[in-house]
Amino acid sequence: MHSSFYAISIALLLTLPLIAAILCFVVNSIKVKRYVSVLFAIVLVFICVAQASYVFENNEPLQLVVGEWLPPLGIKLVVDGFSSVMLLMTSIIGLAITFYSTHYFENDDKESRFWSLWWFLITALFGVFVSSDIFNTYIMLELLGLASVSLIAIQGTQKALQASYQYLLVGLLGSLLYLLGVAIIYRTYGVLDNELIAQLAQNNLSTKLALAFITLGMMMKCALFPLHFWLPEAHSNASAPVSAILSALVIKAAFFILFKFWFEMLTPVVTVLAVSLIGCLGAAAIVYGSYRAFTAPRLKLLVAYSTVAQIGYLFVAFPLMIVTPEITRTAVIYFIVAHGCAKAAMFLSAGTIQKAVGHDNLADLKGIAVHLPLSIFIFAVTSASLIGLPPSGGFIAKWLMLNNAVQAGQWWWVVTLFIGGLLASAYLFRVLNLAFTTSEQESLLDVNYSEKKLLGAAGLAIITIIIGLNAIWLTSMIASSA
Amino acid sequence: MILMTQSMLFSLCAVLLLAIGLIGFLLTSDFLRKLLALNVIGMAIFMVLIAAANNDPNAVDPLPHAMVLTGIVVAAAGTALGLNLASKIVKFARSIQGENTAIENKKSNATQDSSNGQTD
Repeated sequence: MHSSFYAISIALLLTLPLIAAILCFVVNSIKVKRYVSVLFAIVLVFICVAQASYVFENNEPLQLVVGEWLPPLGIKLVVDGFSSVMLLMTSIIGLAITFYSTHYFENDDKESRFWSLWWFLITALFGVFVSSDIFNTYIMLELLGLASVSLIAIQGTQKALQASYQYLLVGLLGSLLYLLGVAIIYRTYGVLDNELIAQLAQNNLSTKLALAFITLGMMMKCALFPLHFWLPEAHSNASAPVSAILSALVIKAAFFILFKFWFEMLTPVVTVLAVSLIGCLGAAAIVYGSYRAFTAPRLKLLVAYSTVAQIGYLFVAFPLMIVTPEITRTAVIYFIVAHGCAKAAMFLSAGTIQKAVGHDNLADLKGIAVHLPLSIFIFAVTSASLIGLPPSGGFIAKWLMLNNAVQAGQWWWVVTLFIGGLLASAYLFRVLNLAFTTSEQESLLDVNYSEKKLLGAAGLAIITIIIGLNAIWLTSMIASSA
Repeated sequence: MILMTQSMLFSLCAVLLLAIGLIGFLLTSDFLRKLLALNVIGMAIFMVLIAAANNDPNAVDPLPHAMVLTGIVVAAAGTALGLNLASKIVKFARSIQGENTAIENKKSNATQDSSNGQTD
């Protein structure tokens, strides 16, 4: 098919979710909202699959110049190898969570507010991944932040409101720091387009300053240790579908932007000292996040701290990026996909447990495996991926990273990766151990709780295994796009 | 003495505003003031952009103006959401406070009643 058709499909990625959001906002009936959402989610998966297959077959990025106004004045939308993988992951995880959400809010008036915000969030995510203009990225980032905050706030409890307010403040400060970086770049180079900046970038003080501000802002949004303080509250107090997308995708969007600035656009100013510092923060995040996950009193809080720890791995890849960029890039993208699928499925199963039992206090979840076998099964499979046991996607991701660290001759990161794996198994087996012990007291649980809604989560859990078994296909696909 | 250009003046003001905003954001614990401080920081960044528009004295660059305009819209939306959330949180806090005082009143009434009963 003609490539212009594919170029127009980039515009569909932004308009379709926006139309869905407006439809869900206008329509009153919950049933119609659900049908519209499922339909649009399926269509988006098809579009993303078609785009990814085009990008990887022809080995060239898709481009759409909006309104045919060429940069530096106009805005360009680009789908390259990295962003097509991100788009594919977003659409598939989005579909799974959409399925889950159609069953999650039973007789709950939160659902009427959920769907339109949900689609605004998806629009913003797609926007971040396709935009090739740093100011346009800022707009998408703000839209992403506002939609996430509202989605946490519709939970309506006092804790959720306070968490969402804190998240709003952190998010606004983070994106303002990003905007300051953008302003400095514009004053220095006079352009906003990603490619033009990459061509013009030089090693001077103002570029360093811009990168510092952008890094600080994105670190806040990524919740990299020690700026992670808002994440556990925000992610654990939201409803399950919202927690899942926040942990699996929204944080990755900020990481995606940061990664592009460091290794595609402002590369001349990147120094060994800077990447080592970021790597150390990542290592600290792994240890601290795992420790807090191990001592967490609630199941969802545990999963949220596990996100703090897992984000650390992505930043440990920074120092390796300088030595072996090609392989590390593959490892990072692979890790993002593996963690995204596993963490989304894990939050969905935790949400089902919370709904069925009425709370998620770990101490009172003894023997839950008897009543909710599917939830615990999904939790166990995704745990295997987060720990990095074969044949899951997480194993391949960690194996690629270990391989890199050895090749780069930086053995100390290997130690960090091993400690992280051990700590992850410690806190995840803590949950599984409790789930399989028989409780002494008579169970008060709703035994007949339907686990039908976990279909989407089960799909994601299967994907984490499939990408582990089919690793060569995915790694060669990512590597060829570089 | 160097003659100060308009662009430099704007940039200096921007730095000053940024400092005020950051100090306000980091040092106050009042959550409404934090939101206002964020707005001040936003204004500082808009000043940096507007100063960039005047780098060449012969022609004004329109692009930063478009960016500032968009930025103002985004800042307004963020502030509106923040204020809405803040008012919800305050309502929650007041209702909880109300319940607490009601319970305390009941308790004090009860103790008064019992002490009255003893004296009688």
